[in-house]
Amino acid sequence: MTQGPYHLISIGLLFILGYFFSLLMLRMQLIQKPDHRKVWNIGLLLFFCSTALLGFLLAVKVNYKLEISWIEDAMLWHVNLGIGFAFIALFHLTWHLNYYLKKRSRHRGSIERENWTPHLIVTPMQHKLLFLLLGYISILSQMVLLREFIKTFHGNELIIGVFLALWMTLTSAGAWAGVRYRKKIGLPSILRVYLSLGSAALVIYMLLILIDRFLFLPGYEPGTMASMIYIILLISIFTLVSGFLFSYLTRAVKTDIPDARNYMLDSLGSLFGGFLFGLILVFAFNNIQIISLLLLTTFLTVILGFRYPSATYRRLGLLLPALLLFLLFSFPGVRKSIEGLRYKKEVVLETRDTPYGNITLTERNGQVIGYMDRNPIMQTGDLSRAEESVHYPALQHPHPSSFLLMGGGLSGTISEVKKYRPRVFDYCDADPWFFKLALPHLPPTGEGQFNFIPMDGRKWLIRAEGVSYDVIISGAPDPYTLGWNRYFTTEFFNLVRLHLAPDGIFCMQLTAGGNYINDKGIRVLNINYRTLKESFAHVVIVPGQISYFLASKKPISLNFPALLEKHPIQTTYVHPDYLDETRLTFDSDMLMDRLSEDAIGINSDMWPRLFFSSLANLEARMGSHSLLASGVIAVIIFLLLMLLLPARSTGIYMMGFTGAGIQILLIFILQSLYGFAYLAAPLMITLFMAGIVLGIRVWKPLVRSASPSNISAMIWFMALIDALGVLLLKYNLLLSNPLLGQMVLGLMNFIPGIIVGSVYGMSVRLSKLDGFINSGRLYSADLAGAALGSFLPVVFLLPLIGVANTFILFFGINVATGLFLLFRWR
Amino acid sequence: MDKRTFLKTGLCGAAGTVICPGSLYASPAEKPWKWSRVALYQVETPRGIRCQICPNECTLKEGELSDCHNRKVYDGKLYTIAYGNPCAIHIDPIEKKPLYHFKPGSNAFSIATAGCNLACLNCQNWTISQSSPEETQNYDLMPDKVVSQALKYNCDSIAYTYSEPITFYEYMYDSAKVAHDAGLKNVLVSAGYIYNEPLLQLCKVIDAANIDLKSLDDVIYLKLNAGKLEPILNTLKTLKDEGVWLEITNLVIPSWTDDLDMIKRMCGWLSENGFSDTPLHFSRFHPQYKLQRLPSTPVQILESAKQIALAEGLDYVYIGNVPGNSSTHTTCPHCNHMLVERSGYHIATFQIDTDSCPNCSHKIPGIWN
Repeated sequence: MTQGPYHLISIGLLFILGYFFSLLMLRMQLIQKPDHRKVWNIGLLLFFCSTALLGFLLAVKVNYKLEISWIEDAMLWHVNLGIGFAFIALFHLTWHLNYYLKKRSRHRGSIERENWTPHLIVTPMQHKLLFLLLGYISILSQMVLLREFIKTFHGNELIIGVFLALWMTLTSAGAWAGVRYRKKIGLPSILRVYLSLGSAALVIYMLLILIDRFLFLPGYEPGTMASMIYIILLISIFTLVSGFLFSYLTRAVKTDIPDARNYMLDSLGSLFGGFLFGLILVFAFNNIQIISLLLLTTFLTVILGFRYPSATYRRLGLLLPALLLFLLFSFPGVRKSIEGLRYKKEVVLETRDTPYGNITLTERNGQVIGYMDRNPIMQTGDLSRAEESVHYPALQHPHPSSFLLMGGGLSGTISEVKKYRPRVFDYCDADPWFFKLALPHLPPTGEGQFNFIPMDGRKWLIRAEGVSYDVIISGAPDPYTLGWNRYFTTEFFNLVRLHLAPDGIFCMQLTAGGNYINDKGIRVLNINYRTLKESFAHVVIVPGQISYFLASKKPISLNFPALLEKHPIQTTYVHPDYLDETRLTFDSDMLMDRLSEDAIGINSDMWPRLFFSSLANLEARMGSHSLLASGVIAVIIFLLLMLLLPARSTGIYMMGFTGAGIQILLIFILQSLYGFAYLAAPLMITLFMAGIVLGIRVWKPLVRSASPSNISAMIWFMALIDALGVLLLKYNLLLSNPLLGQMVLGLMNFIPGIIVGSVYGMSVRLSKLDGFINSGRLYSADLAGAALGSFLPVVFLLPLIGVANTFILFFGINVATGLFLLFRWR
Repeated sequence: MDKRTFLKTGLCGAAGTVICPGSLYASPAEKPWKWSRVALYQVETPRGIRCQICPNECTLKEGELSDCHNRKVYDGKLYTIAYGNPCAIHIDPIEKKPLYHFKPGSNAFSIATAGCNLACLNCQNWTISQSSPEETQNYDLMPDKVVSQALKYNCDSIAYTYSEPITFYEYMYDSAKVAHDAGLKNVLVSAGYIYNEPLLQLCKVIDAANIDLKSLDDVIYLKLNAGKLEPILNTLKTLKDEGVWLEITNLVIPSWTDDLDMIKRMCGWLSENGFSDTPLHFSRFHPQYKLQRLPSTPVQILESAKQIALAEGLDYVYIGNVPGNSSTHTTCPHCNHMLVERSGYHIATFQIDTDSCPNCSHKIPGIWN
């Protein structure tokens, strides 16, 4: 039976929005503080009384077994009113929080001023090592665990954004706690924590495998909410501790090094780790090997840098197992056995972590299955899909002799293309590892050669000037990530059209299909259809379990039986025995009726509408409604923090937000325009981190003194970067000279890093309270901003308002923040 | 704007939000819409109105929606909101249902409304089965129009399919009666999760049925489908006893229902309970709905399942969803003579002579005309 739910979310949202609204009125001085409090106090009283009264009534009813007909309604009201009461009580608590904190901080502050002195005595080299190592462990763990979480949950942008946002939020929370921690922790304990942090990634990795094997139902993909809960449970200890360590060490280490330099050292460690991972490790090793290498290098650093543990046998006791683990995981058999735990009843043939994700090949009862990040993307014996994707387009052409296949070849499509004995057959696959690993395990692809091009298909089309094809087939999966969205944009379709011969035909697919397509699926098909229509005069959707799009300059026929008669091709599924022209036309017409003429907007590189719609459709399939809720919650948190943080933290908070946001935008632009599918991210992160390091170093010679006006000036400088982004996109300046364009994008990523570093350095200097307490708070504020900045732009701003408008929004935010700081900082 | 005006405007806006019907709280039960009918098989209980069509036995209060998403209580009565508003309409070859021994080569006018009384993780039609008719885009097709459309498209039968026709019981029943009057047959494609009484009534208007026997394991039925096994087994027996032409489908899902021992037990049960001559279809699973991380069923397992079924005494065993597989032909279980040669949904050869094998005269069960 479906029970009416208690209105937790709707009541909560209503009260949060209401409170925020009243807070805004207060800040705008439209109401006075006593009035504001009075309103909410009255609310508190009313909700308390009604909840209490109903609760009392329910207690009487139960205790004395009274029969009251409306008691169930009373219960409903009691709980709903109680929810309202709880929210108002929460707001009330925030008013009086300072009471407790001031008392504690006054107390602690006075104690600290009296008793708190930095107590950790280390050499300058050890001091640097502490922060470098922390940054190194954090970034390496984050990058490798992100890849593992994508494997276990779902590799869409929402999960990635949620993971990064939660990671930074929890680290921020840990840093906040580290500012307040009063007990003194000795160096040996600190070093033991480092050793634990270095091992944490291995523990989390194993837990993920066990969860996949024993907790998840076979083949079942948890929804976003469940994934979030798992992510929090698995990473919370690591992130809280690493954040805590940064703040605590900043206060605890006895040193002459200026406080802001700790952040610089941490960033340097992250820079090194990111560089190492992105440019070397990910190409050479699997995730488990990287994790064991992290373990080994952490142990080595602690042992060599701090001579801990002191006893030699203990050092060996740490090092030897770490080394053995690294060696053990280097054996393919061991890796297969571990990864194989995820695949019940299947024999793992190959498994490899590549820059693009995990590839695993398994065999089961004679069937070979290829998985990419746990999702089956190909298997032998899947005749229908291979035939549909090739013969639907190829049969339209009278004599197709040149083919371009972009991805998906190993599912049998290569064999189907060869049936036409093409003169030219190019096969592009951005992930050459999959091809290399899978080919030896697959049946022969048939007579005839094909030209394997280990390159992104879109990039190939840009480079292959003057080349044209009779048939171009895109095997791109649904655009659940911004990377895959590139194969569904108007820019890409224009590129395809340029490379099509006069009679040429283009084919692509989306999984929204079946006997009935829901509204979200229709929207996905509609956006894609409209986008294709911008480039092609004729577009037809072939309905089925999967929807195939055929696009051409010439009319397209659905009469496949008739088309087959003109081609001497042997087919099984694309055959009159399965496909009936009347039925296909009937279904296609019914589908087209549902595609509306509404101004739905097209999908473009700089406005990835289809990506968001696909995510919404995916959410509908998973039965979760987290997409919108997570966005609303993120916006509310963003605004609340902006209002509640003290002025000295607001600057770095907003810089964290826009800095991370700009980074994401630039990575996205690089991928969209130049096809740097993988290298873009680590390079950009490295540049940004390098900028932070430089910014912390050079802010003083740059601006001479730390002041609110100088911080505002820096923030306005960031706004100029946003404005530059808008201009570059508006006048299409990035494509006219690709090399210069890439350099400009790199610089646009480097300079915000300098700005963030400078603002951080200045904020630390300017804080009124004791210097090393505040740098932890500032670090926390920066991370909180970065968490939101890495989530909101990707999942919401980009697809909903496009890249240019997101730059404009950031421009407005930065200008407003600069003004806000000038007036608010006293 | 001054402070007073601002506050006044704000308060008026807030009051409007609370008063307007689109408020955040549950609205009272809506009046039944054009596509509602008083539901059959309901009883009033102190906890609410209980639906008695299927073992879910939803007991609903005013305005509440049933588990199958298309029954609601209004003014103390249970209404179906799935009547005359199908969201999926297609013309399918009868072999697609799959029905191999029922009017082979004919077309079925196939309809479905939203709703289902199960929640299978692998549902192919989840967009409608896990939705309410209020959420889907529907056609206006009352029973008489269903029949006229079926006749217009030269269909021999009307198939109630895709989602779960038991949940649009009243619509199916009324359409089936009109169809019979017009000389059309009625086909039920269902999971069989229904109580006996409504099923007996339905058997008076249904001519053929394909029932999904998902497994012979209660735990799997619970975890995979949110149902129970026993009602399905009872449905099979009732349909057989009532003379409805029956074919059974078993979807073989890797790691769920591909255990050959369980398949053996299932075939053993069918054989022992008089289903030896009931066609059994082993269908290949493809990743769907919430089970996207499983591969398709290896064909070898389907072949093994078929051999087990034949060994257990079942006469007509087919493999579905595998284009090009030869296990779609009908052969005589007595002399192995090729009776119906199928290529996809196309009948290549048909050699059944007055319901018998032309070679050995063995009776071949089915409705062949």
